[in-house]
Amino acid sequence: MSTFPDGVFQYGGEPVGGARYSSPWATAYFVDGTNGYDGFDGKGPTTAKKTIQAAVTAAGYQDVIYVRAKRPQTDASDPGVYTESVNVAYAKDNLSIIGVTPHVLDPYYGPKLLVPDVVSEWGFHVISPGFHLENFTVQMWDITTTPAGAVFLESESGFAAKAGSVGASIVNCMLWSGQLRIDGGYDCTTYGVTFNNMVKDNTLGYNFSCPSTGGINPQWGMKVQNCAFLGKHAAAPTNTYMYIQGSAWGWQIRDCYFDIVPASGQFIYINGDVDGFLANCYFNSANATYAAGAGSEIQLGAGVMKVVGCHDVTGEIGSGT
Amino acid sequence: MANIIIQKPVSFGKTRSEQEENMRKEWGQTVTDEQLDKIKFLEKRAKEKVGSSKNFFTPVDADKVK
Repeated sequence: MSTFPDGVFQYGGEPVGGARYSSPWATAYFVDGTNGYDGFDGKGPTTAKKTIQAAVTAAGYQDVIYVRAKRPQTDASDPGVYTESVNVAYAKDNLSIIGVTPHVLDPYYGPKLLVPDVVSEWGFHVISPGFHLENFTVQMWDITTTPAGAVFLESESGFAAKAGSVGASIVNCMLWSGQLRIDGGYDCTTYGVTFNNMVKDNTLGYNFSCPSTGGINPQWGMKVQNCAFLGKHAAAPTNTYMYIQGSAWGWQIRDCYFDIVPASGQFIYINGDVDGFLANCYFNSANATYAAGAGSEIQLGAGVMKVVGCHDVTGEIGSGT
Repeated sequence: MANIIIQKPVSFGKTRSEQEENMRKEWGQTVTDEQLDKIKFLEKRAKEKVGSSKNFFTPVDADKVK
């Protein structure tokens, strides 16, 4: 049974797919930025690590790291933040980092990672396959230099030493003025992520950058679902929300909201031979036309990218390729 | 005489739902109540279908259950 364009394929209530892993050796680690201590073993809430990086260093492949939201600042103007760059090494495959929210399941109230105010720095820089990030805010809006972005899933050809863009999932997160960069790879899921430009422009929002020359192969099976791409406060952001460069197949972009069209960019920019579908998305524009080439607010590239059930403020923008 | 102490490995739960329920006694939550119910359903089905009692479903899996 298919419920497309809602898009869920199921048989008698049993969903397609399964658990990320079923390792009996997986260990849970804990990070408490307020009460933790990096000298602890991190294997219990009362012996939590203080920094996320310390937990990542202690963890092995397939382990799970729970991160507690830090206590708010004394004037309660903002939740406390973890200020660090987290590097996930190749041997930490299938590692999960999960934010724990104290009351409500909203990433803003969960743990926040402030990318250090250092040029070319990333919040999460991942070169291991199967990385999973959940319930986090990664923010860059109040910094003055030019760090690279929020999350970098880095790979190299052959994936022998870098495979961050293989099987990664970024779930229920807010990337505040920092991009998610994915270099080629396959089977990555971006689900329930808010790309928030409201205070400071992103360099880009979702950035799949894999040029035909020197790119990372294969490139397929990317899914972007239930995501919101927000502009500045009542104004257009500068840069493109979704930037896709490369030749990739099996692309799914669905159930997403795109705010005010960027002043110097597009809702979606695809440059390459990209196949897949764009379904059930809303574009906050009166003229959200799509075309293969430049000149439209949605540029679909040279491949067969199906448009199904998408709308702008005037109605359905049509279905086709 | 030397005493040998065998320490039981620390376990926070062998499934996502067990870990979630333990986490709610400690720091807070990582999924909604509805997602937790669906994760329990998935774990039950996984155990019935493949005999796996150790697994880790995510909210993405939970939201596929209608």
